[in-house]
Amino acid sequence: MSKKLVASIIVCLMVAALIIGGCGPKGADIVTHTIVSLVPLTGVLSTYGENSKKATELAAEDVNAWLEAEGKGWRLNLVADDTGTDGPTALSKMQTWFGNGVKFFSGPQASGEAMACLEFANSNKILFVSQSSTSPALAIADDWLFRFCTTDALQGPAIARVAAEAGVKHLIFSWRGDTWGDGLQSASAAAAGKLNIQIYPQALRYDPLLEEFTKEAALLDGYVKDLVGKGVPLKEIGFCIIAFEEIAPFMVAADAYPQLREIVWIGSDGTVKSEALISSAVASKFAADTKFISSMNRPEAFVATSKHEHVKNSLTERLGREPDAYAFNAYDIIWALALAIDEVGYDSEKVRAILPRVADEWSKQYGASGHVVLNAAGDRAFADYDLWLINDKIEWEFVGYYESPKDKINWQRKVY
Amino acid sequence: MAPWLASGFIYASALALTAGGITLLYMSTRTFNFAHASMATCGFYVVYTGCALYGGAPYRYLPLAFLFGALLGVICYFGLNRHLLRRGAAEITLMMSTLGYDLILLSVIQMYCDYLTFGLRLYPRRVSMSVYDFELFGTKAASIILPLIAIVFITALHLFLVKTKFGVAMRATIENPVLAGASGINSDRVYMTSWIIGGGMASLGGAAMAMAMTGTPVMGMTTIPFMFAGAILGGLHSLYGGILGGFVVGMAEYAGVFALSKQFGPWVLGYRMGIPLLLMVFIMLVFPRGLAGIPWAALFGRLTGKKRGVSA
Repeated sequence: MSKKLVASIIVCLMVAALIIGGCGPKGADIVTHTIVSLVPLTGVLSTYGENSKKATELAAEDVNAWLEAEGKGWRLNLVADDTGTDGPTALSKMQTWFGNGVKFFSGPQASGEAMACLEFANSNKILFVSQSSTSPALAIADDWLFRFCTTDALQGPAIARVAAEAGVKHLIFSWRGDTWGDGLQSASAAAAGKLNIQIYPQALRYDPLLEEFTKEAALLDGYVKDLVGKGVPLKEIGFCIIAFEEIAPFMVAADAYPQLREIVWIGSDGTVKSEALISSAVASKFAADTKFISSMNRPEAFVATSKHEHVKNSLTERLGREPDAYAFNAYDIIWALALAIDEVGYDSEKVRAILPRVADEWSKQYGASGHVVLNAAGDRAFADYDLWLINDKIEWEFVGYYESPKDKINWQRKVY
Repeated sequence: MAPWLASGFIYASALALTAGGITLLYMSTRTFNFAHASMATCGFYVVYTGCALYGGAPYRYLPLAFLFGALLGVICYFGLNRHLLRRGAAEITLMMSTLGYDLILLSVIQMYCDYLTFGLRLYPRRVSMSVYDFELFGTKAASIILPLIAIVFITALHLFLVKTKFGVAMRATIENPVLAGASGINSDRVYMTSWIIGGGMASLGGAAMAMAMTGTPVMGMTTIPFMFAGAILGGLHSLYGGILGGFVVGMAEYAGVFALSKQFGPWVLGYRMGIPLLLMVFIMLVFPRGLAGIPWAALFGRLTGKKRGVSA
């Protein structure tokens, strides 16, 4: 066999090998990009954390199905990690994942957690998008935190309006002593003042780690006695508690004081659809008796192509209960990040630049939480608030909604 | 009884049991048991599981909580502590080994909570055990029954240590292990018994604690500083001192903080954790050997003497 023939055979074999190699499985060229979902699977926001975790997982499944259908060259790898509803833990998790090359995060859920992560994220150009961090203190332009929820500067007036419609003339506050609690209490007190509601001078700001509230309940009873002693009828006394799921032990402690059942109890988005509350026999009964009413971001009116029903049905099936409004935000976050990554690559600076536009365009048609328009601080610009309470059947019931622009409540049924 | 005071009695009794367990283990095995935190949480979950699945008052499940804690203590002893003691490990090594054990237990607790949540559709991560309680003489039954259980338990422990042959051998081993060994006392059995009683006290204390506060998977972790504060306040070298220390710290956290907040305003509540610890520091500065170092006999003797003098 001549040398030329041997060389020709070798060349042919090499070409064939290259061709065969090129016809290999498509997966060989597909890259994976990771988004970490920082969610509180334990701690005082665990119900909401579980809802958001399932929502982001569903979003990742849908995104990957879309990527595959479109023949895109990448897939989304979504990892959920537990923050324990604790700022330092959230930061530690973010640092660890950043060390592994992750630049995009969904969450964390609470404002205190987001605050803990902010400086590190800003310094390292890490893009994180929270579904429910509502503190006005985090409304900062040009930072690396986006929020698909509105700030409590809008929720404060909703709470004050509920108090006014309930006939409250004197309002006592109790709240978690953290970024979220401080911000919402301040916004609510300011709005209540504008409606000529007197704010009781003593207030119960408590340690966010507190798990037992007999002392707080005893003090609250003392404050109510003080007001009654000054001639204020019980029905004109309101108690606004800005809490997470510690609302359940708070109400169990308050149950020991009969006159605390006679005053008006008002909550916030931290207590809406709380599993801790509804699963506690004593607390849920107390909440039903006092018509404990809580406000929550209201999803906007949906267009026919919206993913809202798909997300609601899928999550209800997976969770065994209806998800809260923030779970829909979490779903939209994953889609917005994925679409932005698809457009400009896994580059946090480029994604940050286009995220508001991408979120706007996508959510207008498909948003599970409605249309997401972000303001200059990167927070959701507009929202009304749904009002929920636990009814006599010990079920969460939607009873009306607050229209922010009109500062007005549209009741579905008579509550007060 | 005011609800906050009733909760104070429950909490203080629970701390007395847990602090006593810490002191017993330290005295007998030189081990600061950090796993006390999760052992206490396990005790709570034993009682919660019983109440949630089989119903009835929580008190009927307390013996089970004690036995489960004892089992955890035995596992800790044979799995870790025994080997380290035989190698003459330093106190810090003994302590850190229990921290590792605590983290393992914490993970198991979280898994168990997942099982209860998804398998049995319960809500185990935030439990108010007081909803399973009943009223006795117009107050929470737990505020009467749990302090009584603590007193009965401590009395039984005292009788065991003083009146039984093995109890005396135990005390001898605690006071002088070398001499006790030379006298033919099986120190291995003594250490194991300490872990059985200490683990049991931790779980019993945890189960009692959940009657006053919200039971969570990290309940033990959030209260472990107070358990240690109680043990340290007691002087660490007296079982009864540890028990008393736990009770004092518990009552300071409730009655002390509440009294101060009534006097100076609700801002004091924010320093809930600091006030009992400050009290501990103050007592330790005045009595460096803790409550057990206070010459109670001399103090009472002086009082009695004065009275005698008056009557004479």
